[in-house]
Amino acid sequence: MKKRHLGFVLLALSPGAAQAAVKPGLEGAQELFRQSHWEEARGHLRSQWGAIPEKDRPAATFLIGRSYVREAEFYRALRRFGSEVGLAYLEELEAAKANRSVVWIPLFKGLYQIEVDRNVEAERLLLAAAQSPLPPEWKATARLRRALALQRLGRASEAAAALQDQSPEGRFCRLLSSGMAEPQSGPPREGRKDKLLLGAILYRAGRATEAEALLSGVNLDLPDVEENADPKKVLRFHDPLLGIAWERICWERAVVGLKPLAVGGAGIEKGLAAYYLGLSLFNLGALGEAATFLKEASGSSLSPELDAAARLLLAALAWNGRSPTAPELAPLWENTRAEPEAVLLWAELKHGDVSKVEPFVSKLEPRLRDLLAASPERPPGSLVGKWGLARLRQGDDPAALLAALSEHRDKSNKNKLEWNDPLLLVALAATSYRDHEYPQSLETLFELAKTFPGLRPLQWNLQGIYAARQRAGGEARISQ
Amino acid sequence: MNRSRLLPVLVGLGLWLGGISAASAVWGARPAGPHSDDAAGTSGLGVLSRTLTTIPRQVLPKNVTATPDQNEWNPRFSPNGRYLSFERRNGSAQAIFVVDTLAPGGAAERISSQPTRAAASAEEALLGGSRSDDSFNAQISFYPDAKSFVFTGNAGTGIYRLYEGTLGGAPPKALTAQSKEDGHPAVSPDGRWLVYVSARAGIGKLFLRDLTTGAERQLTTGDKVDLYPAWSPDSRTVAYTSGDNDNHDVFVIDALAPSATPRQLSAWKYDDLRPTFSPDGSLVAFYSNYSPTGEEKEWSILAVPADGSGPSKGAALAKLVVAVNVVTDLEVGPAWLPWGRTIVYARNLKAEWNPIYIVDTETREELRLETQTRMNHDLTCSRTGLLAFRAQVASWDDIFVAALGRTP
Repeated sequence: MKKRHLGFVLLALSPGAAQAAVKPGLEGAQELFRQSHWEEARGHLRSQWGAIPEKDRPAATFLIGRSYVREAEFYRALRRFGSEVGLAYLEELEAAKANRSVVWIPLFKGLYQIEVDRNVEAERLLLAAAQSPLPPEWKATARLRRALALQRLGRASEAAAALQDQSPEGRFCRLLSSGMAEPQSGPPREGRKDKLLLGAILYRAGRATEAEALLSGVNLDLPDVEENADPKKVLRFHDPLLGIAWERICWERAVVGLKPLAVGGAGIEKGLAAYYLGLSLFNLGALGEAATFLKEASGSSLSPELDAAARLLLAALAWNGRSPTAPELAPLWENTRAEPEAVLLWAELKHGDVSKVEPFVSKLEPRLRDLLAASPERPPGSLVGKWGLARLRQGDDPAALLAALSEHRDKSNKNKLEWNDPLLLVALAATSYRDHEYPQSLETLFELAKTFPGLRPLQWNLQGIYAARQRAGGEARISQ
Repeated sequence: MNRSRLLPVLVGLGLWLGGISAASAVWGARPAGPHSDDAAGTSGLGVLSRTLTTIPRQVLPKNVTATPDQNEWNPRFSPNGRYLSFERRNGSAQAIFVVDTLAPGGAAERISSQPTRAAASAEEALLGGSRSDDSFNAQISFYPDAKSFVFTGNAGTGIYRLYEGTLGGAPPKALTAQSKEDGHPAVSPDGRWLVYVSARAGIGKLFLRDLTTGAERQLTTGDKVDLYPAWSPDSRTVAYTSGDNDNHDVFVIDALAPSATPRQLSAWKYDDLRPTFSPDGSLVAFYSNYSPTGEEKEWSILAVPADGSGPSKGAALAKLVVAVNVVTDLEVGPAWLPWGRTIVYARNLKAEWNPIYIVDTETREELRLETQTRMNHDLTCSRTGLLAFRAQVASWDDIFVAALGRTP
């Protein structure tokens, strides 16, 4: 007997389970969905669509769309975590004397700084990077992304001038800054970066079939730049823009999947599809269209939870371009604060000047803190994951948060998607990272990467940080 | 057979035939066994003791689970022998199932700390209902009424607690709310006490709960992990395993005396696990990785005086080995038969599909029980003389039940 803890004892006594066969039709897809095997659930339905009874098709359509919403939320969480880690990795590289001549480091550091809203530093770094001895296409990248930083700093006219670029990256940056989708005509692009960026643009232009054709076989895990001047030390750099494009593609797929039901469906399916379609469009910045569907959803018989979220999103759409006032926010807060999902949405909407207004000043933080304690029954893992990520963004103590999140984790299957929601696992990985528990964070990411593509950049950067910080002192050397 | 043994055998035969229980009748004891044609048995050890001669040499176990693609394990009987529990993975959950041995073929009742519930919202219903039960449940211990029980469950979370329920009753409820790592519950035979393991203070220690008042106290202290508590038949003493990564030994403690000092029944370098009391309470049997042959991977069963009066180490303790090269059970200790001081176990002979043996701990005589089953393990025996065990069918483990003979 070599087990010290009771949990281990319980685990050790569980004989292995055989993987049960997936049931046919909707039922099998629902089981796969509950186990967070979203891609498999969709594939299961699509492969047998003709055999699915007519009565099950609205639910099947909803499941497909909803699974893309879940995927988009997952990749958004991953992108935010990846941005924090990516920047920290570049700072570790920058601190090493041996890397001082590596021109990629300031460029990519600037790219990641935009993602964590450090736009002033990003603008300076990218300005310098655009004049450094980089290949021309990367100089263009520095200029375009500096323009994004400028726009976020309110220097719109300077940004507009720099964004006049007809490359896929230029078009994508314009999509981000103004919502304009300008699909390129001409021969299809070969590079994976161009394919991803153009795929997102084509989707926004309503050309989903072309987008999917372009995205077929795109590898999300490859580095954008590999620096191997020193054969003992390979440096890999990943452009965070690809993560943004991929998240948008997930939202776009949700839009395509849910729209038929939101427009032509009936009953509860129609209202639910309208809500998630509105949410997806909101996240894509298609605000007018989002408002249409959210109003429709709000008028249907949604659950109190989703109804509160829909009202909050509609209010946020109304504030577009200006900061709401305290008298606007106060009644909305009182009407939505009882619903955990709505409270988490409040935390999402908190940025810029908004955060200086009630309820953000004094009410949101304590409500977030007690959000799960007040739950009458076991909260779903996705809610726990969103809660953990929201608290991490607030700067909560990672050790305490890790303990709180771990209470909702299945210890016997601690990194398995079937037992732990992917968002909960991302929250655990991000909190472990913040708590300097790098091996635990990497272990969780390793398991997630077995199901989800696109985690390799984050894993690479985190491994680099782990390698650098494990050294007691001196120069960080990151190699594979 | 010599004459001095003949009378007891005949007496035993009469008792066995006359006292055969209702359950034995259901489960088809095979009366052609013990003494009709070969009273010397098949053990090869010569004349059998009185206890062993009352046991059939051959039984025809019935498969009570017979699931073609699932494993079942850890059979346990209710105190009256009527109900038999076992564990099974069901989808992503591990649940406990209970069958009524008086109604073979009836549906098993599923016991879980996370009962299925109706979909909480229209969306949940559209996506296929509530989240399926993904909880872990194990280690059931029945109350004397045989209908109520306590078990370890996690309700689908990482928090292991004890749950209490009743067969055919409302969904089980958490019994211990303060702790996060509870397990190994054992209800005392008189139903007054519950002993269990809790790691609430960092490592597993034994806690005692008065089931009448709900009052609890910590039963064991120290820096070792205490596991696998088992009650004596008089509901006064608890035997358990205590140790760390390097070694485990067996202890007993007077559970009803405040501040009692544990008595160490084994104190050697070998791992000693999962003690169980003999039906008369005089002996404690446990698994040990001590092997007389010196084989490191072989396990033995030792039976030592429960009052601590026996040797606790060295060659003297080694002499108390009653069975060698045994297949250890994962959850519970050696299985005592309800009569005499006999233990039933599976011998680790893979070439012979781990055959089942019964050993008389006083005489060390053994009887091989022919069952026609393969890869036997997880043995347990009811007070009514029903044997339950786990055996392989194709590549899956099922639970088998056989009547061993008379009511004790």
